[in-house]
Amino acid sequence: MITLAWSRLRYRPARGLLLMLAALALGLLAEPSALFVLAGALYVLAGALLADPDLRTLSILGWAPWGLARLVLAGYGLAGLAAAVVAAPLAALIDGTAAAVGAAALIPLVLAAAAGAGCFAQAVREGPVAERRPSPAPAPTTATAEGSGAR
Amino acid sequence: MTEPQPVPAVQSGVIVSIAELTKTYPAGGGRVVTAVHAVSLDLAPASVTAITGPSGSGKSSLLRLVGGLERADSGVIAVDTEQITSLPPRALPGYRRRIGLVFEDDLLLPALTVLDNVRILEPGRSRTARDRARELLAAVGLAGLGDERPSRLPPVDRQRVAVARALFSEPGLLLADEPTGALDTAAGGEIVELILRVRDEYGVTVLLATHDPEIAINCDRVVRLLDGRIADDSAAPI
Repeated sequence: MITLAWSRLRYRPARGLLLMLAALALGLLAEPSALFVLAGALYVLAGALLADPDLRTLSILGWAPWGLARLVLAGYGLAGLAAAVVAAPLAALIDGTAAAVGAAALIPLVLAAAAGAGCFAQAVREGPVAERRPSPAPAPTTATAEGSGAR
Repeated sequence: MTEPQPVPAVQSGVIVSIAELTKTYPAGGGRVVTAVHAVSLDLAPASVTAITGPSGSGKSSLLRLVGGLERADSGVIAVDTEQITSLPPRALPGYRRRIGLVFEDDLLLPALTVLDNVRILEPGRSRTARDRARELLAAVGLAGLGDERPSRLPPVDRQRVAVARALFSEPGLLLADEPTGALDTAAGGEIVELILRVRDEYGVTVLLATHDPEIAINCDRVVRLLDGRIADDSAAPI
């Protein structure tokens, strides 16, 4: 799973790097406050907007949701971990208190997980259907919902 | 492309029974479109059945229903002894793992090598999985290309990889939704030839949707859909 997640991250380094840098910056601010809650929410949204076509493909091919969740956790966890590894020593240099270092290490991980959760939520919402609507062709069998027996 | 090797053995084809299958979609304004209308169809084991018809006739919808990618409004789909239409949603990914799926879009993961794409259902370190993926690549004529990225292959070879991936789980049923739709005529012919060879060597049951009559003519049976209903069936008694 880690190898697969790493391959994906390496293939789209911009995604991982952006996530890492943003998490790093917020990690260095290191104030578990309203800003952090807001950032977490934004990361979930960002994850949903980033989308992840691979998750949908895997879902179509028969990966169960827990498998997708593990992949997301592994991938975004790697990005968060990398950011935490950079942020914690930087925080130690800037502000040597244990709380600052701990927060700088933890916050990138939490934010990366939030972004991953956004991606995952979107994949689950979209489901495995390759094309939700039938082709836009003449449809003489069209009927009202009441008359068609549709559920 | 390399000379195709014999296909590794898999389980024999399954019987598919479809009875009175109906699927509607909301079309806005309280209206619905009936994409599949009371379709009944039995597929013999190790047969290749082409579903043809114009765009919007319900071909893809029918395949998505059989593939567990959509839920039917009513009717029954049975694959061997398993009734797909009554499986709970959480069981559908497991069902999709046991059948082979090929789409117009190859759905290969660009980040992974060809070999890793073939064994995407078993991405761990298993040597058995790697060996099987290599065998399948050889079987579809792509021996030695396992370390390539999909983007470096021509479309026809990417579709070959998709066929190899579909065979990884040793399926008894292979669903191919317009597998030649994104290919030129010659390349499309190669893919159909490959699918027919897969049937011959694996004994897998194939349900293939295509709008191309030249493709359908090579299949054992041709079922033509029109407005979600069966308009013609080459296997029907005259």
